[in-house]
Amino acid sequence: MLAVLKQNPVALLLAVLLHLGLAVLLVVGIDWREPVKPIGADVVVVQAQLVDQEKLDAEASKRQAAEREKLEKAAAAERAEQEKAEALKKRRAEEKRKLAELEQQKKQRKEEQARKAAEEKKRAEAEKVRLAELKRKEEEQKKSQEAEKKRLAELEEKRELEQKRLKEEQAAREKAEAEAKAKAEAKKKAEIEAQKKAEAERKRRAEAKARADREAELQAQYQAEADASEIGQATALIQQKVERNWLRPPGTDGLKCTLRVRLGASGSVLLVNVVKSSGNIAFDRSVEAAVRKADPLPMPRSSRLAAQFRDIEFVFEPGS
Amino acid sequence: MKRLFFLVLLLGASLQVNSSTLTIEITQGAEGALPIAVVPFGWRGDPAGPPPQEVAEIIAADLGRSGRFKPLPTKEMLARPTSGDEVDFRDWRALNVENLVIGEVSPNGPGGFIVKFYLYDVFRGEQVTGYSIPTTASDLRATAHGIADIIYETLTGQPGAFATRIAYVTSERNAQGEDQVELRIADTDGYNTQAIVSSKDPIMSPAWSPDGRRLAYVSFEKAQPSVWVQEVFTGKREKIASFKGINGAPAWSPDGRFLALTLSKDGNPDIFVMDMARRSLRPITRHWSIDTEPSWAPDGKSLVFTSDRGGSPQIYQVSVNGGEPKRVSFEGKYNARASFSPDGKILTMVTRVDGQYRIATLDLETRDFRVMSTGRLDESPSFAPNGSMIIYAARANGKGVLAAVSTDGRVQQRLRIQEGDVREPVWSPYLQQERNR
Repeated sequence: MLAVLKQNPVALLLAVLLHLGLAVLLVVGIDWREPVKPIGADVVVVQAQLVDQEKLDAEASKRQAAEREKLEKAAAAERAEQEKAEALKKRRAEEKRKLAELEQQKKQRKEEQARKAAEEKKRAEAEKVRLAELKRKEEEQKKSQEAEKKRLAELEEKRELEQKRLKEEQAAREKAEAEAKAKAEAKKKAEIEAQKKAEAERKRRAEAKARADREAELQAQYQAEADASEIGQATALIQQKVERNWLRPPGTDGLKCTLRVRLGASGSVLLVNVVKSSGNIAFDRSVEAAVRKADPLPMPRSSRLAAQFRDIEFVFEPGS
Repeated sequence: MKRLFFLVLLLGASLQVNSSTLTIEITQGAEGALPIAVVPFGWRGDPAGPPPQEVAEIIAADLGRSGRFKPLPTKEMLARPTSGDEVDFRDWRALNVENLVIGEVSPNGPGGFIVKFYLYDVFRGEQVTGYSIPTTASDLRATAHGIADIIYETLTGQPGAFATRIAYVTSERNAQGEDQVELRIADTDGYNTQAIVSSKDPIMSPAWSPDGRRLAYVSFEKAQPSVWVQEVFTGKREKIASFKGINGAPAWSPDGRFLALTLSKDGNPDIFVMDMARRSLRPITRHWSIDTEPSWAPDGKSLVFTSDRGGSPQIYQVSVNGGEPKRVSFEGKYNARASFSPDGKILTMVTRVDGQYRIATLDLETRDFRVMSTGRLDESPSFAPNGSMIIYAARANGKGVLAAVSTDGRVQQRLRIQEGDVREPVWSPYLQQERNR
C-alpha cells in the first residue's frame, strides 16, 4: 500500500487536500449560523431571548435620540417646521404607514422568523441530512476512496497484470519472435539444408547418372568388345574350318573367288552362290566345296550375333 | 605356321542386323589333289563274260596320274553303288570325298558295249554330269580315257589329255643280240602300245603333226640321218630331208604347213624351215655355231632353238622371217631342247644343274625358272596338249624310262612302260578322231 502511495503521490495529495477541505467546510458552516440577527428592535420575537431585547432597546433609544435631534433641528427650522409638520404629518402618516408597515414587517418578520426557524429547522434537518449526506458522502468518499484505492489497487493489479501480461506478452512475443526467428532460422537452415541436400542429391544423381552412363558406356563398350570378340572368334572358327576343308587346286595363287553363303540358324549351309568367279572352274569348285565340306559352320553362341552370320561373303584369295 | 587373317566388315560399332554382309577372307588352303571316288562300274551282262577292261580302274588311274585328283582306293569305299538310286552322299562325305563317279557297262550286241557313267558333287549332293557311250571291246580303254577327259574337264575347266597318245623310241636287244629300235605310240597310261617304225638303226626326234595323224622323225637308216614323215594309221612314210650332213630335229609348224629342221648341208648346223607343200627350204639362222632343236611358238610366228653361239648351249628365239636371234635362257651353262607350252607362256627345256641334266620350265612372262625333275639324265621334255603335264625321259636302273611331271612341279611320276630303253617321248596333240567320238 505504501509502495502504491509512494508510486502515486498526486493521488495521495489530492486525497489529503480533499479531506482538509471537507474539515474546513464543516467548521465554517457552524460559524455561519451564529450571526443571524432579527430584522427590527420592536419586533417581538417569540421565544426571543432577553439579551436580544435589550439590545433591541438600546437600538431603539439610540434611534429615538437621533429622532429627537432631528425634531429639534426641525423646530429650529420653523417654517420648515410646518412643512416639516406637514412632512411630519406625512411622515407620521408615513410613520404610521411605516409602523403598519413595520407591524406588517414585524409580523412578516415573525412569520419570517417562524419561517426562518422552520427554515432553520428545516435547514438543520437539511444540515443533518446534509451531514448525513456528508457523512454518507464521506463514507462514500471513503468508500469511493477505498473503491478508488481498491480501484487503484485493482488498477495497480491490473497494471501489474497488464504489465505482467505485457511482460508475458513481451516474453511471449519475444519468445514467439525468438521462436519465429528460431523457426525462420530453422526454416532457413532447413531450406539451406534442403538446398544443400537437394544440391547433394542433384550432385549424387548427376554422379549416379554419370556413373550409370559410364557404366552403360562401359557396358556398351564391353558388349561391343564382347560382341567383336565373339564375332572375331566365330569368324576365326569359320575361317579355320573352311580353310581346313579347302583343298586348293595347285597353281592357283593369285586367283580370287567370292562366294555368298546363306546359313541356317545352326550354321548349316543352305545356299552357296559364286558371286564373283575366279575364272577357273577348279578353283571355284574348290572354294564352294570348302564351304560345303565345312557344313555346319561354327556360329556365335549369341543368337543376336548369329543373325549376322546368316549371310556371309567369303573371299577366297590364296597367298594374299 | 597357319596364319590367321580375317577381316570383319561391320558398319560402325553397333552390331545391328542389317544389310551389311559379313565378309570372311580365306587365304590358306592345302594345295592338293581333289579327292574323288571312282566306284567299280557295274556289269549288266553275263556274269561269266565281263568286259575285258575295268573301266573305273582306267579312269581312276588317269585322274590320279594327272596329279589333280586323288582317287579313293576301292577297298576304302563304304559303298559301291552302280546306279544313282544307290548313292548315299553321307557315305562319301564321311570319307571327305568331294566327287563321286559311278557307272555301268552293258552289252551292246556282239563285241559291243554301252558305258554309262555319272559324276556327282558329293557335298552339293547333286549330279554334275553323266554320259552314255557306245563302244567296243578294243576301244574300251579309249572310252575310259575319254570319260576321264570329260571328268577332268568338268571339274577343272581344262580339257583332259588322257585320250591322247605318246610317241617314243625304244631300244632293245633282241634274242639274236641285235639292237631293235622302234618308234612306238601308246596311250598316255602306257597301254595300247603300237610300233609304227622298227629298225636296227637309231631313230630319233619323233614329232607329231598338229592333227596327230603324222609323225616326223629322224632315221639313221643306211647310216645316214634323214628326216621322214609317216602316217600313223597307215604306216605310209616319206623321206623329207636327206641332205649332206645332219638332217635332224624336225618340228611341225602349228598349222602343219611347215617343218622346221636342223640341217648342216652348208657345213654348219643351222635352222631351216621347209614348206611341206612345195618342199622348199628357207634358212632361219646362219651362224658358225651349232643351231639345232627348233620348236614353234604356238602362234607360228617364231621359233626357239638351241645354240652354243654364246659359248654354251642356250635357248634362243628367232622370228620365222629370220633376223637376229634373241637369247632366252640365262640360267646355268646348259639349256637345250626347248619346247612351248600350248598357251605359249612357258618353255620347257633340259638344263644342267650340278652336272645333272634335268627338266626345267621358264615362264616367259615372269622369267621364273624352275627345275622340275630330280633325275640325273632327264631329257626330251614335251607338254601334254592341255599343258597340265610335261613328259620326259629319265634314266632308271641303267635304262631309259618315261616320266611325267605336272606343270606346277607338284606331281612326278613314272609311266608304266616296261619296254627296254625308252627315249625321246613326245606327247601328241589332241587326236581329232578321239575328240570326235
